[in-house]
Amino acid sequence: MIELEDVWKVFGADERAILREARRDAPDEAVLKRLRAVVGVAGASLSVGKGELVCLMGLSGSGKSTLVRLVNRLLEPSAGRVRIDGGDILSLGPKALRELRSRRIGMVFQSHALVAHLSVRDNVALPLEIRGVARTKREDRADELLARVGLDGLGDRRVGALSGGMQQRVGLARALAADPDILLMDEPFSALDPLIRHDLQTQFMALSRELGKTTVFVTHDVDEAFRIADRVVLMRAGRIVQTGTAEALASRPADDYVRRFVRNARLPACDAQPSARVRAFA
Amino acid sequence: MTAALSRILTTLRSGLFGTRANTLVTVATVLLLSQVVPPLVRWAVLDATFGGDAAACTRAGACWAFVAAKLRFILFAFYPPGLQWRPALVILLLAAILVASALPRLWGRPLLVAWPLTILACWLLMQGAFTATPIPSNQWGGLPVTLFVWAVCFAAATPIAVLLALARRSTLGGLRTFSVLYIELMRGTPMVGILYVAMLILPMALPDSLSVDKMLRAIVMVTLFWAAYIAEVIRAGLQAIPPGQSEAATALGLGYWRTQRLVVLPQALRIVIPGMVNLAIGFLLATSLLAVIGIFDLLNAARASAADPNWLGFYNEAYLVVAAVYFVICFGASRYSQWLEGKLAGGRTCPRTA
Repeated sequence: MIELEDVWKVFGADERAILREARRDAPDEAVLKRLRAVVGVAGASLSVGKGELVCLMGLSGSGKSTLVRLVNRLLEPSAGRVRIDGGDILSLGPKALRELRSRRIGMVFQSHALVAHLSVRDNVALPLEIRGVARTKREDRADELLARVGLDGLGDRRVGALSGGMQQRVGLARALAADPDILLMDEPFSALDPLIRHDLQTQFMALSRELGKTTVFVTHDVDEAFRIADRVVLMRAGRIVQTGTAEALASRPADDYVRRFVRNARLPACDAQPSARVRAFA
Repeated sequence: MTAALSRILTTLRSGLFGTRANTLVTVATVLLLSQVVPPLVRWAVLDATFGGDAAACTRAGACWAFVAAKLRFILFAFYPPGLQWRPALVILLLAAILVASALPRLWGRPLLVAWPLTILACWLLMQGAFTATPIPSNQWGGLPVTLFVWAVCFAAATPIAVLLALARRSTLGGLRTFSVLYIELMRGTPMVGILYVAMLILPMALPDSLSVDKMLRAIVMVTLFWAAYIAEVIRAGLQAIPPGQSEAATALGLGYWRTQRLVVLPQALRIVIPGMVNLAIGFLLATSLLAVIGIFDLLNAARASAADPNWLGFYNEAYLVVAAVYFVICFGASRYSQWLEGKLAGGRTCPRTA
């Protein structure tokens, strides 16, 4: 479904020079510093199957938020290939790219992503408005989705009047409005307090299971990753360190970094194992 | 009743004489007022002349008879007296569109269409369209000119300012440089200089066959000048919108222009409304500079009214009337701005029950 092949993302004035240096076996830190380089993602390869929920996990600055932005080209990869359903998305023109984003890929952000001057309903209906869906039709769809995420009857409110947890539900409803196959979630629950985060995780898992969306979920919280993911991808300094199920990471950590990361993690209880879902959609 | 009265008295006492500093200020203010107010009242009321002609006016008091006789001239200047219903209608039209624009309820596409139509209607009315003899712009004057130049220039400058502000934040270096140069050039030039450019340099730059009306030249230059100031205010609003907003819009499949139009600008412009109203007040007062290129705006018309041989030298009265007109508009705008700020802030943060 989603395939990333040796993708790189470097930031700086001269991307090509930085990339040349960063790609060497032993990059010269002094050269990178002179180029004012920031290496976001360094040669990551990953494929996500249809209906699979993959968590990108790592500390701040490990490149996970950068990597997820390469999937819908919010950031242009410096090198590598990105394919969706076998189609190369890096060759898409601006119009085809907008089309891809509006129809096939929904995205949820950590914060500040809702439009403050619109009502909750209009926010959810925005992706449909963009596509020219008639007002009554898109409002019906928005109300249906609001009910789905547990916000029945709140469509007329202003988004600013909602709590953080409610705003994230609105964000999720908006990402689902265009009925995309792919969901990209960039730390959607990280800014919420633990109880609400847990509720939203539970609700999201149920919804995700029901809808069977292919999902890339970014988080720095190992408990969250282990709880909801079919597969966990652990990143450090732009590189993918280990990929596997929660049990695999916990029982066979690839190195000390992984071991330290998963040491205190709670493994999900058996009834919450999401892997059954993968088989159902495989 | 007595309780309320005693409460008011207590408040007054603590406000005026609560501390030693307050007492000092109160006494000083009363002394100052006792020196200023009586002569003013004597001039404006007791010794004033309210009727008759110039001969009836004593020089000791105000000559309100002058205002009664010359009010029409102050408001409309040299506009042909028989056709003065036209500029009067222009004032009404402009007042109507300004009031309509001030109501958040009416913000939307119809208003955007109404603005150019109103401006066109005003221009036609002033020009004397559909009459035998068109009225050249050098006969226009007074309040309609002040209001017209103000409203037209502000309305036309705002869209230019939006483009300048976006350009200044653009990732395209050339565009950004142009915008910065333009804004800094305009802000580094006095408005009088801009008006002289409109008056003297523009006609030289244009080919002879293309002679553009002086009023129109002034309007174009003032618009370009104000656009720089408005652009900076709008840029402040754009900077207040978190970058995540455009990112989310892009992720929804919106292109640059639709992102700006649907997501960023509506929020940014709401934020900068108080700043815009503040600018608008300053600009209204700045229109009096039009006098330097011989346009009879409100202030210039007032000055000219006191140059009438029959009513020579009643400048105080004329300027007081004009000051009152400016004050009413500016004070109204200022109060409006405060009301709007409260209203918009309330809409964003106060929870409403479903």
